[in-house]
Amino acid sequence: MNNIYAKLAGTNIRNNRQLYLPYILSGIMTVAMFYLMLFINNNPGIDKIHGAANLKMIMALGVGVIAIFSYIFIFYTNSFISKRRKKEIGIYNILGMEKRHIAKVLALETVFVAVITILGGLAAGIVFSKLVLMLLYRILGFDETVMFFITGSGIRATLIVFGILYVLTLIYNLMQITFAKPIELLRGGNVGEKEPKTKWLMAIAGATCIATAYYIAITTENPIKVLTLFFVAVLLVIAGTYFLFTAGSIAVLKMLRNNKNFYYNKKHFTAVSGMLYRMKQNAAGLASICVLSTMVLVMVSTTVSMFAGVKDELAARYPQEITLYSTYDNVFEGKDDVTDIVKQTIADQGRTIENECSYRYLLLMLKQNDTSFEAAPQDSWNSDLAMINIITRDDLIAMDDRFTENDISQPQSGTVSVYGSKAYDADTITILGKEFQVGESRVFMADKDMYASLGFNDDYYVVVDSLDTLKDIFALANTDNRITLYRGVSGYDIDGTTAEKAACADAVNEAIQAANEEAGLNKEEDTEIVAGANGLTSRYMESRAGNEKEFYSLYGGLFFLGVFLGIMFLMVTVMIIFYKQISEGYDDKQRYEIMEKVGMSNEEVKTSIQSQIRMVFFLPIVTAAIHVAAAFPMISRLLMLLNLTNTRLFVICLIITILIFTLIYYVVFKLTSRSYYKIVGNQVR
Amino acid sequence: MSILEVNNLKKIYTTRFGGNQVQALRNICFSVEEGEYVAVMGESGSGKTTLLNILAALDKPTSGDVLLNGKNLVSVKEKEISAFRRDHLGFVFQDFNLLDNFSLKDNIFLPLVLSGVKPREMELRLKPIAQKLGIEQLLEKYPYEVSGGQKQRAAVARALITKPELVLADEPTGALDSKATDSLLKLFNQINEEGQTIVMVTHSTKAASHANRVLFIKDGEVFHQLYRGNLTNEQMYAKISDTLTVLTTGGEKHE
Repeated sequence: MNNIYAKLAGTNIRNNRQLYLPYILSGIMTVAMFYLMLFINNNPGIDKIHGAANLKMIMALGVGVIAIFSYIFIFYTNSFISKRRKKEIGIYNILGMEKRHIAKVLALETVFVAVITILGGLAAGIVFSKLVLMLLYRILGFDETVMFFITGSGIRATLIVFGILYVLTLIYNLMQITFAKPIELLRGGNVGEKEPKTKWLMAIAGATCIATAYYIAITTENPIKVLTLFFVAVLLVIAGTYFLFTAGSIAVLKMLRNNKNFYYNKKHFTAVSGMLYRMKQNAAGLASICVLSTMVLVMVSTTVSMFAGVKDELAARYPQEITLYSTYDNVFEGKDDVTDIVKQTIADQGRTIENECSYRYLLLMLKQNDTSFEAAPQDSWNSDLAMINIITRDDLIAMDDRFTENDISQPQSGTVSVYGSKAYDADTITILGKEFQVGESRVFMADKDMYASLGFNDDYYVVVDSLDTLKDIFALANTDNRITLYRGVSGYDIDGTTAEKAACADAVNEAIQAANEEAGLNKEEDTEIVAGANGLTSRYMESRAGNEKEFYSLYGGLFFLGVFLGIMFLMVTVMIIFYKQISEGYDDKQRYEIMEKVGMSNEEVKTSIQSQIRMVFFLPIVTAAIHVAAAFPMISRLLMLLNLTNTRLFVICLIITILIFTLIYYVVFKLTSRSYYKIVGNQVR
Repeated sequence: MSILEVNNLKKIYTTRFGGNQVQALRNICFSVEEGEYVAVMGESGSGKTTLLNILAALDKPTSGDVLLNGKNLVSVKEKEISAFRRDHLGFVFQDFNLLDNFSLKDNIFLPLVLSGVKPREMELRLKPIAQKLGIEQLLEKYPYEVSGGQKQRAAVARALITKPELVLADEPTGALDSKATDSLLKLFNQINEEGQTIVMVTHSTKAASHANRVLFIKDGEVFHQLYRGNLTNEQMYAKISDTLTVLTTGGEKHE
């Protein structure tokens, strides 16, 4: 007896293969991707990579994103299929099958689909796992043979996540038949629809959301704000897109319809009314396509450009091969003795110093009030603070290779020169209540200052006439026990291979740790600042070679995830488009039949379908491109935070991503319009 | 002068993989004069729908000619057929065939829009027709907002607005209640009296009894025809009923 149900379920899936095949295939792909992410995460080989922690964090993020999207996506597809099959189920009901029989068939169908999908996905995941890992190793520049490996916990997690998912779809499908009467099932989707009302409030809300998001994206310059507001902007854009597609499009189409000469034209008549009719049911689908497209574009272009520019980023983050950072509680003249230790260590390692520089300056974060820069409380860092670097002429020349003695004039007593990321136009500048005449002012971007890449909107180097003036300012800044940084930076470029450089850096680090120990730094109880010689409060070093691997694993991991998720989102987008076209095809079939009977020729049907599909298709991608364009300033600032200052590279990556995406989109458009036309076209003859 | 002439019409359907052949129309000959109101009656399977599809240029006959105003429908080029159909023929269907996404007004305008008529001209043409059909108040409504009778009136308006030489009606009363049927048939008579030629395919004796002439089709041939002459609708009804009885009980062909 059970056999009959199983047979029926099998036949049903086979007969509806046009609907089920894409559903199962995309399900298999999703499961495979989920497994692959877990596989990378659980692979013991990964621990050998420098920065494995970064990589694991990134992959864990990927697992979460894929899980969430597979739920949304598979649910969407399932509800679509179940809607399409209402009529069929209604016929079973009328033929005398009780609801519990139908439920049995549906349950078996879901089990079949789930088993095929999950097992197929796991098989595909296992087959491709080695290849993917090899790819990842190649990206990370990690030289290691890849072992074939099956992750048991990965399989278990996949079974659980997707098992629950398919149980949920089954519950949804059963609810559909429990609450429906047979006659309703028979009628299926063919219920008279009301013309959509113009929802002005929603349209305005959508426009406001998007305008706000665009405003945030374009105007936010403070790096800390960029970080926090980015997600606000993303959420606003998503909400705004949904609102605008739902309400705004209807408002626009109604306006078009009220223009009689435009509307009563063969080319626009059916397209406008068809879209008006369709917008209501498909606004959400179109908005999803738009949001997903935007995500793909942003994610792929940023991760690709970050990876492509990894050398630049490394150089921006670590201006010199070995850089020593110290802070002092005291302004002093002459050099810090530790530099001798560093140089000695480098020499002992057999390396030669090719370029070195050493300079000190006073770093202040101040609130700008016209020409006056005042102290700001520590917790107000995310308000727009200016970065003021008080520096002497000699130190400035030492800091930047581009400057020689002739470039920088010595300021007169009581006068300062202001070199800023922005031109400083006023004649005077008041720093912490002390007023100076501004002798010279020019626009200047520091090349070695790693804070510069953070993109603080106001970053000024104030060149003072003497160290005494600097001391005075330091005293002013220190009055109420604020932590002020008199910073010393010593940088060294050395020769050798990456491994040699890294070994040298390790030795230098050891030497510095020893020196710190001696100076009484690095104590566990850091409550009381222990000042060493010259009031030294902290000292640490950074090495470019030592961090290169970590850098590669971070940016390479992000690149891998970006492309991986890009493919996943693209697949979801394609599936939504496909199912949308098919479902619209069935809805439109009848209408085109009528139009052909009334006297519309096949040619006219074709052009009408084309113009309608084209508009519906390109609306989301054009909107996505606009979103990306508006997000551009904010994303390039975010990339600056991640040390990618090469905006040109990002623009190139973005354009290439958009072109490739549009190409794929176009192919999907062609394929689905063909299957749409197959359903709709040639009704009469 | 005859507006429609049908000569030796044959239609043979072949099942998809060859094999079985079904002869839907054997040898149909008849003509319709300008201003006539002709009903075509027949059992299910008698071939009347096939006939109507051929008259409507929706289907091609296997052999034979259909002349509309002297122009042979069979030889109209594939490309021009749709334009020809909407310019010369008007259609009224059993299930109305109104589009849900258009208001009644836009449904009526559809053939004109396809022919590229200017909006002003369309409004001018619509006014008298809407008045005559009593749907002026409903023009902005959507098909799902009005009754079946009202839908059919809109469909009639759509058929008439192109000023066709011939209106083809396929079971126009099939989906209407008796009251709506009465008023639609009255409307057809009124339109016909104003000079519109109508060919109506129907099952309904009542509907046919309103026509000037009734053609009976059986097994793909014109079996018999009745002229109204001076008969009232009731007398016509009785006569049609008798003929149908003969038809179904299998009388010999006579004319």
